[in-house]
Amino acid sequence: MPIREQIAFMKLLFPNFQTRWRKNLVTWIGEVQPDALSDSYRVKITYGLQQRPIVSVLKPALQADEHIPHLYRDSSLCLYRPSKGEWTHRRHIATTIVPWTVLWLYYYEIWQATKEWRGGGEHPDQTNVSRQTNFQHIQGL
Amino acid sequence: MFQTSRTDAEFLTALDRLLQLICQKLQLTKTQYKLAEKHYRAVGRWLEQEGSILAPYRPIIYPQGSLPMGTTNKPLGREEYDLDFVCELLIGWRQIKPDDLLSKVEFRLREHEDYRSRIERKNRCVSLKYAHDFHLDIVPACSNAALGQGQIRVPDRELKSWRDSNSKGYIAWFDRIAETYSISARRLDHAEPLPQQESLEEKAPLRCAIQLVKRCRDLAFVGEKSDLAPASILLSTLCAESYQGQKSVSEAVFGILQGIVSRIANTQGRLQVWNPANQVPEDLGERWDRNPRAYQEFVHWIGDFSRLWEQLMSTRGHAAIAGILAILFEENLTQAAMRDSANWVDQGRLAGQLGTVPKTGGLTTRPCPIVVPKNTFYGD
Repeated sequence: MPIREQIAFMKLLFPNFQTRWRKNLVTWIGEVQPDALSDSYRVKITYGLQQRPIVSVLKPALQADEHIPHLYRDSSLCLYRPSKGEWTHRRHIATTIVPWTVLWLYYYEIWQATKEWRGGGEHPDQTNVSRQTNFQHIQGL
Repeated sequence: MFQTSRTDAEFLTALDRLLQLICQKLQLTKTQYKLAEKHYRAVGRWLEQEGSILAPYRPIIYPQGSLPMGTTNKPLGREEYDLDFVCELLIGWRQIKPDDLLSKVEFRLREHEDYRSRIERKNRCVSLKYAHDFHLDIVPACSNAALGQGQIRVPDRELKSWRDSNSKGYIAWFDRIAETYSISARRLDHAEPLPQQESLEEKAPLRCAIQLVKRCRDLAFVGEKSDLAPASILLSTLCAESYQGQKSVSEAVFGILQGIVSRIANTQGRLQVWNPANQVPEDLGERWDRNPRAYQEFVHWIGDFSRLWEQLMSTRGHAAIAGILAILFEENLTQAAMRDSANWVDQGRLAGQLGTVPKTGGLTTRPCPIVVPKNTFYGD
């Protein structure tokens, strides 16, 4: 899908996000609030035709006493499993990456408050174990 | 009261839901409630049965205190709830000593094979223990209808004399205030739909507020301070008097605490809290005269509670909110409520009905143009 269409969809659904587009790389910065009790988060989405969308949280900074689940080493969010085809260049960022970011932030806050990651998911090196332990309450997803 | 914007209203609805979940975890389960009802009615039948030593006095048993008020909390660090009942007898208080009346009730209960093993004689009541569920505390009382409907006399603490009381009148007074607003009437249309099996008991905000205030008291007055704790009837009366009909639980607690703080500030000496149902005036704060430190501790506690609550109302972020609630009501309880409060997201996601509101990104289970697609959070 052309970057132009990604930008048009973002503008339509998340008009408050600021867009910067240079050559083949586009950056959106904007605020989302997962639910009424949540903080508002300023997030940055970077995307190019040659790379997957990268989402990072600008403000407030992610913080925890422990290792935060489902983060890449560069602190960008692990939102989907690449090999499962959950996201491809043919899908709209506004209807996949953004909702997943909001969901991630929601589960991050609940994890901070309860020490329990309720969002399920998989870890690259111990996929089977984490599926059993983290997946219990949303089996079937 | 606050002037609330839509965002604030959504915040209050979400915070209220969390507080209601805390209350739900503190109170009797529906099964325990039904069990308690079954047991006290059976006790009533046993006491009045023909051949009972009490039969001539036509005993009537009815619940008093937190149970009919809908403000029962599980005690801190103990599994069993304390449930209070009055056993009202048609006998003149001048004709019998409090101690003898209590003994008569105990005697009759001991004639019952099952009750015999459960009985514990306490200072002012006979208690029947139901392990893991509750203690039924039965206070004998002489009817004192000459003073007015519902007026009774109960043994005082030392069992040497009688004390005036009017449990039924108190409940009637309390219900009138509590039902100014019931939650069902105020349900905000932007509340997230609750999963059916989890629908919260629709309870008047004042009742929830009192559960929360009592829970905070239990936690603040533990250990060596437990003797200084303000009594539940005193707190409930103060809360009901300070309640201004707020429709939201969090606003009700806010208003109540502000009300009590300003009442303290505008009072010379200590607060006077009169029992609203008694014909014979009863100052519920009388104990403070004998123990001024208890009053100082009460004033400090209410001040701290009020400041923390004000902070809570302007806090955003689940972790920060949970942090304040954990100080007030205890960490495990807060976390359990927080987990329950997240169920709607899990279930919406599972059912493919979770959406993201355009513009703000807010999660919702109401019909919405963006449905959150299936995903697998991945990576370490």
